[in-house]
Amino acid sequence: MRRPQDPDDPLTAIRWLRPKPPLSGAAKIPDSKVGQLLTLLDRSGVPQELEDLLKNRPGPKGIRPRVVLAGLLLAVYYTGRATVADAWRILHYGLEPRARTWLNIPDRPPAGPAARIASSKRLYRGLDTITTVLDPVRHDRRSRLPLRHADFHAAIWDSAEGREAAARIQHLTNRLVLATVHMAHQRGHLRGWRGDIGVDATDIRVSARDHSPRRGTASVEITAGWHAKGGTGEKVFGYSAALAIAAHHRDQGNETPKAYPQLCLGFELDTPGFRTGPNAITILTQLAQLGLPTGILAADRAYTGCSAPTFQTPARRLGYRLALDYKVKERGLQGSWQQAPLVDGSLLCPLTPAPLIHATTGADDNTVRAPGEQLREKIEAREPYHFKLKQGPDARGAIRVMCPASGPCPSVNCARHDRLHPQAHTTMPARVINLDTPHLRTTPAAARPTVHISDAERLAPPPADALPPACVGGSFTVPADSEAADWRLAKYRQDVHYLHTSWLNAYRPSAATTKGPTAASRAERSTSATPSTGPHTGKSPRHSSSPSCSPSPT
Amino acid sequence: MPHLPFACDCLRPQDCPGGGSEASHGGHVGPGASGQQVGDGLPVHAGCLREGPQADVPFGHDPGERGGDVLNGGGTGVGELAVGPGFRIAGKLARRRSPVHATDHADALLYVKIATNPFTGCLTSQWDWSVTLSSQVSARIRDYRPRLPRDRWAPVADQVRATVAAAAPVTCYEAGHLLHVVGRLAVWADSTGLPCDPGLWLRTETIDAFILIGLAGRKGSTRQTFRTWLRRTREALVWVQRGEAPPVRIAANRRPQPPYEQGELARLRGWVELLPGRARLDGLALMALTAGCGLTPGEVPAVRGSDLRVIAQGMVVLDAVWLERLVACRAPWEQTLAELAAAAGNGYLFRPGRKVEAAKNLVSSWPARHKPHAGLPSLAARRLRTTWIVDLLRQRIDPALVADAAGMTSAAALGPYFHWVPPLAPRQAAELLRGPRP
Repeated sequence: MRRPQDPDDPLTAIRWLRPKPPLSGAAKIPDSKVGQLLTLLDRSGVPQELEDLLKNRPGPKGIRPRVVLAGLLLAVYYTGRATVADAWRILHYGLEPRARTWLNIPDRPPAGPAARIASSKRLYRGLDTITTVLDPVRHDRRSRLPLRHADFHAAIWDSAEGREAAARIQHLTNRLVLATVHMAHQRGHLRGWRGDIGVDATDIRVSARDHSPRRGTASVEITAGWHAKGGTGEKVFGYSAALAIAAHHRDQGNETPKAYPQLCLGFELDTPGFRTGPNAITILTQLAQLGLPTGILAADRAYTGCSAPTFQTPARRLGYRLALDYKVKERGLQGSWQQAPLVDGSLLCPLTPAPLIHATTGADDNTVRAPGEQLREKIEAREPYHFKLKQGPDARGAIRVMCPASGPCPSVNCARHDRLHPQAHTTMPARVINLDTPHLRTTPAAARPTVHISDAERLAPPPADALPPACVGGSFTVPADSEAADWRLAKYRQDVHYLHTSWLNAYRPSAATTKGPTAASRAERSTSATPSTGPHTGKSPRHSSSPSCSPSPT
Repeated sequence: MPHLPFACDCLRPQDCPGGGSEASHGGHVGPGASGQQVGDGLPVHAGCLREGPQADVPFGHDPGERGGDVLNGGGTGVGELAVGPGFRIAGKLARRRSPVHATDHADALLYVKIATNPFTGCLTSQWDWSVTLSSQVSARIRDYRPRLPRDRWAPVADQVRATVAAAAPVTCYEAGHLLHVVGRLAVWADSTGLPCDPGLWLRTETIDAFILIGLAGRKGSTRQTFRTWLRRTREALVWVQRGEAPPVRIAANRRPQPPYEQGELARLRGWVELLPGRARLDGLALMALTAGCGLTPGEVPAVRGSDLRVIAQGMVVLDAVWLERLVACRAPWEQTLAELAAAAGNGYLFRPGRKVEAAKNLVSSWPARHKPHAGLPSLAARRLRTTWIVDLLRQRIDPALVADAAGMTSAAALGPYFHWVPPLAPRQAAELLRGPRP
């Protein structure tokens, strides 16, 4: 009597290797959907690039990368899983005759177990061909490697050759995402989008276990690591995915933003804690090649923690204005430039009252998320003391700012400024302010806060060289790079005033729009780990689901 | 009790010999002591400024530091200044209060000493003022508690009390009003990040910004009043030029209450005549004093029967000392007012049953309790006074006389009332312009 698990039994072997055909008849996929996804794939240029890489490869051609990727895309779209078995099922049982001709799939499904196994193995080999050409160091992924072997492989990924291969994989992955952006841009869907972007690093959990030093075995995912979530402190073993999402900032006039698709504009998968800033910059650089507008870039504290040359400076040079958040110890006075204090990322007048400078010093996250009335008043009172933008960023990202008491619309009255920069005396009659007028057309000068200088300075004005250069010059350049400026200035400076209405209007919508796709991305990943029961019909394609079907650095 | 940075010991009533025992609201007015200057024509005694080196502690927290006329060292380093002889001047600071109350006085003492710098030869005069407030005003300042959250009021409370304690003797406003407005200014300045320094609060630009920004949403006239109080406080304390911004010019609409129509006033009087008992007398007193004499609502409760005199031909005049002006009642109200005065005797004319001299809403609560029947507007003291002013102006009485009788400082204050005065008929105007024939 044959045992069911007997490896010598050919039927058992077939069962083990089986690509199971759909039991109750496959649902037919309309040609339009296949054509849509194929168009997306072809426009991304990924199949063509893979063909170029495989050009000099010996042996029979086999299944081409275009067919493999199309099958995986369809599988992700209809089942939520990026498995070759699903792709095989869809390609051989789910397509209409016309779509089969597009992908060179036989008209009829494979008849009999042997034909099914053969066609399935061909598809597996097609995927293997892709991973072989992209993977700089192949290893057995069916079992956990000893730690020393895994370290060897991981070191190769960190070598120049490995980084080049990883960059190639990330580039190909991102091209799939950018294809949708390019198409949306061509069709005018991004007309209402003003270039604001929210960038966030989200965790991609893997089902493999962590490295085990006790057993001396590494994880199957040798380049995975622990992703620490900033908000909850929870740690997830897997990868970090940098996502750039189209966002918007609210205007002061409460105008509703124009409609635009909440597109994922870029995707980078990497080991957690490494290359956080450069990955975001890679996304933004590829995005800049599409000629899209650049607006406010809202990034959370993971990106504030990057060193300025890896994130802040290149982002400014790409034309983005930064909206950042800070950790508890980074709030308050952060540094100075031209003796103007850098407070919460903005340069303030050197004579700003100390309570306003230290309004957020030591404030914890809860206080900042829901500020009390007194903190809100101080934040509002700080606004007139900010140095004002005089000239936007140049090619190096440097801007020019000017004293808040100067210019045609000063926001403070300053006796020191009036002494150092005397204006021509005007004989305009003093304006009478009617207190019963509900809305004054222009704010009278008396309604502006006054910068109070010390009695000693008033009685014996010091020479100009004894005063802060920010006061003497009136306007000065603020470089974007840490070589020309203080590293704190390059790292912490942001272009909207922290916790002010402008910052809330820029940061909160971006954070909200970024959270949706990142959560969806996590959901896709968790769904793909557990088998889906049926096709996900009627849902729009999620661009953020591309990590499931994209080759990972491992 | 919160610590007052430069409050005097006599802010505590028990330290003040006459504190709290005076019946009037005035200060410590009594027989003068020899050798002291007499100011403002008033007999003076030292009040809290006790004589003798043992007890002479006009202010300060350490009695051992000060004694007699010997002055303590002032701001410069020891040894640099050779302190010369000093002198002192004691007197009373008079402050004009509201007409209801008598003129208030605060005891004042000035020490002056002259110091010489041995290196430069420059003379420095060191002034040391001490002003003692009456016990009532002191208690008002000590016990003041605004309707503000504690965490907002506590950081500025001491400095606000100190500011008002210093400014109250030399301003004509009540300490309660000054506490309110200086307190609001201080809390606003604190919220905008200014340090807790009265010198900064009382700068012109701070006051103007507070009026324009901090009081946004309040009535324009209220903001003007607050600004006036703050500017008087500033003038009382700041004697030096500090390079402040010129004060901003502000204006607010003045809309006095409109006068009653002639028919309305007669019907209201008829309604009051029919009220029962005390209500009738109070209503008539209110109408006679406002529509007949033009008193302000603040002056009405203070009128006693003895303040009114009936002279020849039934003319009733009101020439009480506290009123500081002469008012004659309009003829239609003469008889009523004379009868009310006779009935009141030495008591109050309006609501004599009250336990306090003056209370908030004392006048306005009467019309609130006595509503006329439908079709009649309710009584309002301001409208009755406006009716009196407009009636006089319509009869072409000299505006200067009207303003004087109304207690206004000049006839310019009558400007808003001319809105209700119709122009003269052309014939009448021509006759006036022509003048009498020679």
